[in-house]
Amino acid sequence: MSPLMRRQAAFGVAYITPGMLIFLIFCIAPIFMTLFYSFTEYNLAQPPEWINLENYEKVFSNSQLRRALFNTVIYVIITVPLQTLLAMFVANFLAEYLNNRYGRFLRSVIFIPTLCSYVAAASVWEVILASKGGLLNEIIGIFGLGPFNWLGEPTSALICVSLVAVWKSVGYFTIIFYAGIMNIDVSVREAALIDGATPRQRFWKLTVPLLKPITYLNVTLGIIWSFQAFDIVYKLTGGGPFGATSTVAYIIYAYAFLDFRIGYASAVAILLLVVILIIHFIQQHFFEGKED
Amino acid sequence: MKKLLALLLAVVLCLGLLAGCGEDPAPEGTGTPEGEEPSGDPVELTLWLPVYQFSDGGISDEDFWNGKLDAFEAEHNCVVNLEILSWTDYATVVYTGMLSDEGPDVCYVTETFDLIDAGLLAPLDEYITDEDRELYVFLDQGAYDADGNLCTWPMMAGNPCVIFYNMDMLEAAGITELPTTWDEFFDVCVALKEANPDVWPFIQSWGASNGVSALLASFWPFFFQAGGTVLDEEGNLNLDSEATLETLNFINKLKTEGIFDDSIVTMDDPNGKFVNGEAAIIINGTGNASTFTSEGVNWECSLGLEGSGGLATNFSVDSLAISNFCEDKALAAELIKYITSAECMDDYHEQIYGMPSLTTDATYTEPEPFQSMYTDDADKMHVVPSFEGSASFMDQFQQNVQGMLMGQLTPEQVIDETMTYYNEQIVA
Repeated sequence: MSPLMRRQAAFGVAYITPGMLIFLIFCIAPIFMTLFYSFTEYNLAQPPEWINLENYEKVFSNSQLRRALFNTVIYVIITVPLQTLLAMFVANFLAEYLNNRYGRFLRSVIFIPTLCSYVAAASVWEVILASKGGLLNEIIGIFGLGPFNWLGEPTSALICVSLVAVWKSVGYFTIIFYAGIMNIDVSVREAALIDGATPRQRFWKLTVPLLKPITYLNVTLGIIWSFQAFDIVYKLTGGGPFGATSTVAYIIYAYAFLDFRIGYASAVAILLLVVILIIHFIQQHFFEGKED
Repeated sequence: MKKLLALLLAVVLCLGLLAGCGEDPAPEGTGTPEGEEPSGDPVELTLWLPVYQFSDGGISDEDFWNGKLDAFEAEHNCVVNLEILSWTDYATVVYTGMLSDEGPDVCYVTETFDLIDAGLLAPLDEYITDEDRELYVFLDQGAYDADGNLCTWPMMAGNPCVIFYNMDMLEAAGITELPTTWDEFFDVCVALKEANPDVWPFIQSWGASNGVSALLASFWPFFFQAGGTVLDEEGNLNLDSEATLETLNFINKLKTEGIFDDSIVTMDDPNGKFVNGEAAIIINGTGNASTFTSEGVNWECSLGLEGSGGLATNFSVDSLAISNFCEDKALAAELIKYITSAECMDDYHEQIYGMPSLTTDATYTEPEPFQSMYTDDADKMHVVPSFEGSASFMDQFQQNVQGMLMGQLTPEQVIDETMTYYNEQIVA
């Protein structure tokens, strides 16, 4: 390596060092600390005590956790495809037909739920979904249906919180898709138009394939965030009824910060990490396979 | 030159980052040794209290306590740094705050098991005099460590869960006398339902956001009326009992007989339904009475019902405690005594939040009918003690009771599944 290259490399290292330090201290180190604590009994006040695999043995026989994991997977299955497809369609509609000031206004409106706090969003949806006097029941009552106890039945409760989560996040993913669509080379689109492609053909044969990296990003983020779902679920249902909407993220929080069983909570967190990684690798394989 | 400057900047950023990770040098001891005159530098104590001023227009907690603490600071040549905390995740904030010497010296505590178990609270016995034991009426209701040392000093003792009745609705249903037993209570609920099918006769909050809140007014009053005790004589959890089964059977009966509707397991606000006239009966803390009055509800209340264990209900005892990190525990104990003295608490109860007086020399009395309850029925009020894994236990119990209310579990299964979970997952 020439002296110039060595100097450049040294500068490069120096430039990335602050960012790397922050990343290592606040992102990487906590993962290894969590892994370490998962093999210990630790209550924050006294030194951690090494207990080998005891926490993991308990985790695998924890019926509450199994139910929460099942709920979380169902929640992911409902929210991720729905919010991704919906965001893609809305973004395409805005880019294709409303690329004007009305479209800009609509983009802002769609983004409002994302800016809304979870507490405020949950309060609004509580009113809409209330079993007695709720807006939704009032509306379907006009057609002689209901009333339904939306948040009081296990199946409908999980579906409702999933749909509220979609409502909350679809604006965010729409903006990302919209940016991706606007980034598609105009000449490609013009060529399709000249070739007589219909809007539907343009969407499925042009936009969707060219948005693949953006879709990959949105699906990945969607899966990770959905596995970490906590706020909206617990503001709307508190995990009930009968554990039908309990999520792994809340269980980790409760074990760690209500019971102060940090070791056990760490074991659950590691389990969640492993599940997310497995799904991520499957998803990566799926996207790479499509590319081939 | 630009690259050199950039490199320097990067080095400075790294140093700043590393400096941020460093610890402050250990503070010098500032406590005034017992028996010595205070030195020139005032001792600093940090005091954490939760917000209790919930009404608009009244004096704030901060202004009230800062006004009161001036006299204490002058007398003891000290500075009390007051912090008023919100109730959001209060127990968690307190626990994590007390883990270091940066936290409070004196703190208002609600959940005590974990704090005591982790050795974060200082025993108080050496600071308690015989006069104190005579003066402070709730002192023995504090929490103790495994060696029997008192670790918390009651500050807010009261707010029993009583039964509020909307008398307009009861009268409309032809009910003139409040029920006194479980059977009478059930009959009243049935009569209310028949008189007005659109109104909930009785409302509970099994869908509350956590088990602690759900059980507070929905389970514990009935449990104590059934003669239950939360812990046995050895301090072990005692909820696998006849009293629990009897309580669950009664709650289940209310559901199966249509007294509760399906939304009993949702997060609908029971207080709001009572205030809005959607429910005729609610069990809640006496602290809610003023809200019911201001909302125009024509209410009457009774302490509770007579179950197989007699008349009973639950009440809360929240306390002050001294952190083990506190450097001047004697002064902290003096601060606790000052805060809980009649000089402070009489005004506090008048201006901030009404509760039974803590000392025999206090002049404040609760409004009727609550004062009579405290004087005549104090022995019928029971504290729900803090125990190992109580938050997780109550969450699990709440979820299983929801299962029972939805017809998916029997009362026996609720007890069995909750205790199995507790023994295998929480205390194993």
